[in-house]
Amino acid sequence: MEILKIEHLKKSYLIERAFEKPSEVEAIKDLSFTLHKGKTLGLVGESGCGKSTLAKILTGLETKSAGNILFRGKELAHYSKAERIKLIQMVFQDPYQSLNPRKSAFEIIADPLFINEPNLKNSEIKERVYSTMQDVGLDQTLSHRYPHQFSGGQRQRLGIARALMLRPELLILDEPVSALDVSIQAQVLNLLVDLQRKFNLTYLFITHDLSVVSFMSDDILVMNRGLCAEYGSKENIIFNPQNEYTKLLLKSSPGAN
Amino acid sequence: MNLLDVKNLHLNFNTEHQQTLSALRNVSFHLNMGETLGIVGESGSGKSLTNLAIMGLLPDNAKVMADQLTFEGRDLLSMNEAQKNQIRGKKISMIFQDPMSSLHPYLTIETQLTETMLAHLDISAKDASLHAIELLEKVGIKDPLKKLKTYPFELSGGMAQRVMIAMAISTQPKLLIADEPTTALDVTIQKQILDLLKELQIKNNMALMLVSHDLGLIAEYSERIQVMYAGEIVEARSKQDMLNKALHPYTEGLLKSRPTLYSDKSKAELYSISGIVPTLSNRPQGCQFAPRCHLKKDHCEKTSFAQTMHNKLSREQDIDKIAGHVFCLERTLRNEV
Repeated sequence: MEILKIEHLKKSYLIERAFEKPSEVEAIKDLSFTLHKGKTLGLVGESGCGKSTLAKILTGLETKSAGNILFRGKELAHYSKAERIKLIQMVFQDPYQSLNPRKSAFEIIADPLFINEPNLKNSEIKERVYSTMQDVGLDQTLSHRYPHQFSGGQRQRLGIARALMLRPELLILDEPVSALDVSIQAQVLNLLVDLQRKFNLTYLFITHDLSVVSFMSDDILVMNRGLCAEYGSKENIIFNPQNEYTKLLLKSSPGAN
Repeated sequence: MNLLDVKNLHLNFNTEHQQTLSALRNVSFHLNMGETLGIVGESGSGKSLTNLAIMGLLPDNAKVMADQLTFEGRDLLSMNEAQKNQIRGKKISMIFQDPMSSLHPYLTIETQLTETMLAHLDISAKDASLHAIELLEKVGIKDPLKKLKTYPFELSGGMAQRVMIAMAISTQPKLLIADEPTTALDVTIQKQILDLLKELQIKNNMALMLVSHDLGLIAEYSERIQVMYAGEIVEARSKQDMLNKALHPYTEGLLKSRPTLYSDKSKAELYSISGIVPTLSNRPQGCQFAPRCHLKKDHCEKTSFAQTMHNKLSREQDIDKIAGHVFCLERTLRNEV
């Protein structure tokens, strides 16, 4: 089932300088893709290619300049903010900076509920926090601890738990393992696969690491300078790339050969 | 004589609370002229501290002890600052992880590039500038004359790292330590930078210590690989041997847990090492890896294998035998080594 369909998306920023006419920079020039329920789309590209801009537009932190974003057939902008928050959630790259250091693990995970589901009783909130902590492999006795008392991998688990609290359909994972050590990366990737199966989640997985993306994805979209360089099934992109830029990425990827 | 000899290096930190934390233990390795040694380890494994100990750049509360720490046969430990300055930047150079924060934001590329040369070589400012242009050309920067007058913020990450490399090779060092030189860069730029380092190494017959957390990257660019874990070397062998069959359970885990282009979530889940790297104040008694190891036996928690192996092998008086060894007693006892 189609869950997200993006057609000819465009995003440009105005650069304003003193004494000069404002100039336009196109972060995303023309992007189209489809995301199916329960599947993972891997988004690969180097810094500045527009992948984070796309994530910002989908989470509502930026507005698009042109094109259509259809979520379950309805334009994303026509959903209310409260509705959108419950549909699309995000896990950030750096687990050291994306958690509030002054809040305990419990408060961090429960925050989305406090804000978006004010009618819940305290006991219900507690129950949901503890069950989500269990889902991401955190012991509930750790709930009173603060972010600095967790390791990098545990912190990323906290970030994932927070994103799962409102039971979203689409999870945007922006380089979720690139700040982690190799031995911890595997733990978190396995967890993400388990969660996807358990809750039938849809992932938009943003990364620059081709090995990670080929493990996680069903489809892959390669972006270059705001344009789609290549889009197709994982097998085609990794083992039979057509685009020169995709070939260059594959050749540069260490240990790939 | 080796270019660099490190035998039984120990590093302790004295804390404010009269505590002594042991950061490196029994670290022994050597490096020949023109050779590449890859050092792999996760954060907290001691790979950067090893480099800083060689360069003499550790803070005051660090205590370095070693049976031997020599560069070109000269003892680095007994040198005073002035003598160290004769070697640092001239014979041993270093490239750091983040080029943007290693360059001075207020000074032009020219000032920063010529500074090293003026300090170490007997040349005039004019000659140094001319040499700087040559260097920028060598590291593949187009229009070097114009780039000399620019400031770091005007350069991209890849360009800035090229400038760092130009600076590091300006005195034709014998040893170049590259500490995660490409971690902050994109993959296509990463390949360009490492290819450039390799090329310069061959041209200048320079020894290269390549430090990274990425075993795949290290394997592509070095002849010998040394894996570090929690302040100890756990396995040090030639690249072929290690990739054919990793002997230490930690190396084995590192190799297996990295996804490849062929791995697929629907076929099998990724191999993962459970647990985390012990922190400096929380290091176990015996084998550092024992709490996370699937081969763990009772004796693993009691004996420090690095120490045992060191004692056993140093009796043989042959550093090469240590350098080609695995510090896992459990596997040794089971005759798997």
